[in-house]
Amino acid sequence: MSILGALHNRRGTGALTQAAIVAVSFLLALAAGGLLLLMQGHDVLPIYYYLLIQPFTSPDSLVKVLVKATPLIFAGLSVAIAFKCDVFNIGVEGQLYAGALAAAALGAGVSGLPPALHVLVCVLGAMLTGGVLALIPAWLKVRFRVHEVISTIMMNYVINNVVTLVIVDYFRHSGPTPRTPDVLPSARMTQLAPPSQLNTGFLLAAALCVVLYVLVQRTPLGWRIDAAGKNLCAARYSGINSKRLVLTAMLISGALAGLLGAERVLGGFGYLQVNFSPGYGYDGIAIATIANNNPFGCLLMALLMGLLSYGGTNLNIMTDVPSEWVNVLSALIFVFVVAANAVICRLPALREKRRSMKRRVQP
Amino acid sequence: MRKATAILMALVMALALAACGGETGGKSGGSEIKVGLIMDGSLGDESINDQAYEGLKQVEERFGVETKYVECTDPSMCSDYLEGLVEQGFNVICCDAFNQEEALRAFAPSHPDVGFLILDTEVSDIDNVASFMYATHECSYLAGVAAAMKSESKVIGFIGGMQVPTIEKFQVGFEEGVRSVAPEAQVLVKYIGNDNSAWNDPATAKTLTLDCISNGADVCYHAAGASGLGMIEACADNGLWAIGVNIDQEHLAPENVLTSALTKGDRAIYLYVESIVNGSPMTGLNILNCANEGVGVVESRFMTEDIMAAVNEAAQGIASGKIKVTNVMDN
Repeated sequence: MSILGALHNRRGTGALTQAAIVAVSFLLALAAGGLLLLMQGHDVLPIYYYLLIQPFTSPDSLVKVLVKATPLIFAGLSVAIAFKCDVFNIGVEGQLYAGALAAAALGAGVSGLPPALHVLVCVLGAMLTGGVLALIPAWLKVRFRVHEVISTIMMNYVINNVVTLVIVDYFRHSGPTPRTPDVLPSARMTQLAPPSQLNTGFLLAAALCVVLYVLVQRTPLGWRIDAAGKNLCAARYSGINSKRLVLTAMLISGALAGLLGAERVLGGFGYLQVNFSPGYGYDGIAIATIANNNPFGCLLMALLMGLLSYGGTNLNIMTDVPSEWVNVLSALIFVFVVAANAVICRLPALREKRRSMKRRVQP
Repeated sequence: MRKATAILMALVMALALAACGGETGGKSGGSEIKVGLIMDGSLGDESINDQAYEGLKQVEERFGVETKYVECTDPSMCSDYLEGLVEQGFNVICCDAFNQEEALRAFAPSHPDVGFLILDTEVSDIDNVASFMYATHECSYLAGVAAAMKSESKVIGFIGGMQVPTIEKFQVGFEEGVRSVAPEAQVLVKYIGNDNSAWNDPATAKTLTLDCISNGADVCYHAAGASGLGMIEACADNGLWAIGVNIDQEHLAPENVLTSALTKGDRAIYLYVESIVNGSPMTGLNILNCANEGVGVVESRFMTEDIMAAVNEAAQGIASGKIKVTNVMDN
């Protein structure tokens, strides 16, 4: 089985089984992480308290968890929808910068629109930009069989550097930080709990989970995407235009990545800063994989990652544990989930093998 | 079965965590000074963060204050760290990089009882913020003195990142230092490029350095960020002297780095905490220069007694105002 296959979990375990796998993986990761801490001579329980419990003790910190989770929900959904169609979109990281730039340009450059309409224009512009840029590797894939893993990764560098170039040389706010000018007030998404960055983008992300769930589970397009993702050849034989599906899935995926950028610019910062993303696109891969491409799973996993992210800040301030330890913890969860999925995928084959062995032994 | 085990384990874990929640009470506050440092990135960068950490250790030792550092790897989290440290009772907070300015500007005015420090940028309009910038022309002058004395060919190379005033400040100071010792010496000036990649292009830096070397240079100095590694490598390959910048870069080529022109962020932290201990906090823009030992050069084992004597004399001369080093940014 290829690595991609293992990541992708093509057979698709049920939602409940997957939830159990994730829960057990999480506990195993906590145990392994705890062992690491013990080896370094730390007191484990207070550390887990600050990481996992303390954020729930005040509304303020809960809000911060949601702030951290918002972009991760978009990232998870974006990767998941492409995964559903068996396309590995590693380009979310680049597409989100492109979307952010579009949102920042429309937000600062277009004036005279009423607030709601202005936000809508910026958001649509960002989605279109992200989507179109995702179509390039998708088209290369269906037309020339260029593997999307390579093309999307390469495009990340190109897009990120072009966006940096545009910000630094052409579209720069006067100040020490390399960033664009503030977007107009009419282009800001409504803030839900100032001074935190929580904004309507979170509600939008949550709503999108429902939309994507319905899209995948209840519409013909979703059914075709799912079928193509499970077995491309069979889908093609049954008359599904798989090329168009790959393009569609990538278009949606890129649009979601663009939306992530728009949320950060219009909702979070109010401007676009060079290198603002701490790797949302790559976190999205982990989230979609762990969530088994289930939109609601993505929501939950993004919230968990948000919790770990905020808890990590917390740990850093309250204890002597380096923030990298939290990265180790989330990586461990990922490893355990992927390993469990790989084992479960092989179970039927193993069982079959054992049965045939028994048959051979017993005359 | 597996599901049941998972649920059981989750319950046990949650209970254990809930039980330990009670004992983690806060330490008592009070009026004592607690110094927090927010790093831009992580400890172990062999650069500004390690240097600031040194400063933190120094104030802890010297003034007996409680200190703590946090590693801010995500720029959007800087304000969370500011808030968290203040909530924890930290009343002196040091930010070690210019890109924390935005968050600091938004946060500091609403916390007048906390003192803030920021390095390498100018914040002069908030009362409780002290910003520090480096007199890089002065330490470059000292590096120039050392380079001219060490050089046998009296041909010396300078590799700059981008030709911008901040880097020309290094170049002009360095040239003046060289000429103060050896008026006949030749300084070969090379710039790497015209865009941001110039700060991270060791390959071009190496080519330019080899060019200097083939023209007779036997000591080279750089002000080119990470590109400078290429210059140091070229010098090491040819057994010639390299001069590092910002931090002590000796470890990059232990046999070939003559010295490094230091911009001492640790000194800024020390001076700032000292001013708070003494009850008269610094504010506005402060310059770290030879006079307050905020810039200088490393006294390595290759700096012979006569070189050190000349460097120290130059440093004292600059500090007392007897020697004037041109600051291109003043014009």
